[in-house]
Amino acid sequence: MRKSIYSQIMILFSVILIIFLLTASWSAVNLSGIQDSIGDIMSDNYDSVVATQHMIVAIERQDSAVLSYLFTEDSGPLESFNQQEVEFMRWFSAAESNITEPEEPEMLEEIETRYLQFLSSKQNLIRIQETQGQEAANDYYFEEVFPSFEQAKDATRNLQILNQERMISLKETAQRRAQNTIVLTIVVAAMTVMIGGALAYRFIRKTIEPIELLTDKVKAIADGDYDQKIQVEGTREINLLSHEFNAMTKKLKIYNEMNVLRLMEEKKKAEAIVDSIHDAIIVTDADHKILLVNKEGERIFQIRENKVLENHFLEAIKEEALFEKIKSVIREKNKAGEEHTLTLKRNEKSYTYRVQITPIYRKNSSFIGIITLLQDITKLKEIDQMKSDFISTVSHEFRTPLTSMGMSTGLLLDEVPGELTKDQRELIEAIDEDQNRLKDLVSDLLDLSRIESGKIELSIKEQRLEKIIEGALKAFHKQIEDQKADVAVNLEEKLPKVRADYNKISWVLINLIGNALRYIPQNGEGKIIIDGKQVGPMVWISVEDNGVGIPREYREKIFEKFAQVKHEDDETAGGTGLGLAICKEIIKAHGGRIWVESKVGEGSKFTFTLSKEEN
Amino acid sequence: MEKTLQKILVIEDEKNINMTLKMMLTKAGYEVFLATDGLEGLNLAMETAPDLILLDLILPKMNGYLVCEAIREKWDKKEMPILIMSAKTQKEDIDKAYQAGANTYITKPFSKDDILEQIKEYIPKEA
Repeated sequence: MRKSIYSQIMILFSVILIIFLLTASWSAVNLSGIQDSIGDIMSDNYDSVVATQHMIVAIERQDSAVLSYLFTEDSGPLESFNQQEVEFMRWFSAAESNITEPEEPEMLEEIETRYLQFLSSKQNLIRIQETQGQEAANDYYFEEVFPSFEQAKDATRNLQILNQERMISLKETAQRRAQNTIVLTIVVAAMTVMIGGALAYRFIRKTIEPIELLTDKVKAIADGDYDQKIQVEGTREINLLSHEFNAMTKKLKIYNEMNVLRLMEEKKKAEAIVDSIHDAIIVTDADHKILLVNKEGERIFQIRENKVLENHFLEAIKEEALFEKIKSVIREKNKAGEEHTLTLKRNEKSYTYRVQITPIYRKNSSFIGIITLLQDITKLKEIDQMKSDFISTVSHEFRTPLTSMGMSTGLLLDEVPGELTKDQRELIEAIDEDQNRLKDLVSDLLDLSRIESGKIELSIKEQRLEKIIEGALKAFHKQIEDQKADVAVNLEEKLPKVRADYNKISWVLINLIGNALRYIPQNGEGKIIIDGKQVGPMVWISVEDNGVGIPREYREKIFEKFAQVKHEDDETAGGTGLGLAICKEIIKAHGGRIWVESKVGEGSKFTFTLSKEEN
Repeated sequence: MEKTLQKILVIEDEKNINMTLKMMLTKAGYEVFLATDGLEGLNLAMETAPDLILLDLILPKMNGYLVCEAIREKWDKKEMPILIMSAKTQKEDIDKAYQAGANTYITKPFSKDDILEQIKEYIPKEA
């Protein structure tokens, strides 16, 4: 089992502690050694020095006492001598009991001997004085007493010197030891610091290394690399941690895979939905980079989604017209969902698509991209074409018989074959009227199918609107008079010219005015207002009447083919039901719009728009 | 009648139109020849050298364009005006007719007055 960080720390600190203890005790021993030497000086040598000092003083005084005895012959000095002897002996015994040096006993013996000699010479002196007189005593003193005093004093001084020298040498030893101790203590302390530092460094490195490694791995996992595994040779805790870490990584990996799988599932689902849509879908971002192409999109543009992703739209799909439309949607942000048609050629065949371009915005209205949806309307178009062809064929087939019918009734009414009775004439007139209506219908149908199939050719010129209106009104001159209708033309002052095909716009106006005349009151209260005004780059032209009005449900429908408003009183007010459809096609071909506002019982207002002249 | 009548050749396979046209034109004072297919029409034109031809485009045996071209080999527009009467309204058809040498093109259905007006324009009646 690996050592734990705890035990490692304990070991490390124990080691450092032991080193410190050793250093400390070693220093203590050294210090106490110094103290001991100092103690020796203080207690022993110093005591000896003091003792010898006292001894010297005592012996000096004794000598002085002997001299004063010699000169005074008084007994006083002898008493002092005896006192000083006691003093000397006291300090001598003190010195004797305080032997520190090996030479000391010998020297003490010497002192004792000399002192005793001094003492005995003093006794002799006293005796000589008493027996031989002053003169002999004086001689004796100088011959015997004084030298013995000197010798005793010298011996004592020698002891003093010894002790003093010893003190000096001891002091030097102590100094040396102290110096050594200081040096050694410094060395040991330095070593301790170094060893402790090295151990601590090694330990910290060893502890941190796996943690750093772990940090790197965790970072890698945070970045999504779940294949991280730690194999750390380290302490028990680190080992435990790496083990748990590896377990966690494994779990994370499984969890992540699960999540990824779920996401993939969701993505696949979404993709499947998008792919199963029969319309082609292309999603592009603000820079026109392709973000998505569904199956149908791949098919019709003959591309592969994975090859064109992130490519520029034009790079992948070489349809400039479509690209322009997408660009215009981005430019005019609110132009969402506008519909266009697009024709694509594939395998020598043309396909028609209804294109819907929708910008996508986030909730915070930031722009994400554009969905372009292409709905294959080739079939619808084909059906529409078939319908148009059918109408065209049928109406075409009507033309020849209508010609002979028309001429026949004309001839009959001209009584070319013979005179007609009143009844005969009435009947033929009815036939003539109906065949005329049929003729109108056929010609309208043909016009319409021609316009619808794009075969209408407009010769657009800048036209004065009042001229077109005047021309149109001229056609109704008689009818307006008959109906006593009030027709007003209100054109804005300085109304710009309009860009229009004179004949086609006349046709539109004639149709609108004709309709109005058909629905207004026929009793002279009928009113028609033709209005012209500029709105931005367009000119709005409206024909307003006070006729029966158009119920809401018809307002859109009336611009469709064969749509006629059924009124309660009479079914229809005549007409082919194609007029407004043709109007719409003509206006559309001009790039304008046509619509109606109406109130049942009050009247209707048809408005169409044309571009104004270019400045 | 002292004056010889202006001759109009009608080449048309639709018998009702032929009948009504003949009646109408005769009444209006023209001499009318009828042909019901292209070939017959061309032959009749060569034989009678009419003052004006009313020509349909869709005809058996030989279509109107060819008839028109064949006649223009011999007579120009002024010598023998050709009025096409057709149910065809497509621009291409009309252009083709003019290229073949037609003077004008009248789309069906037309009325009695329409056709008479046109005829008068090309061959004014001498007063």
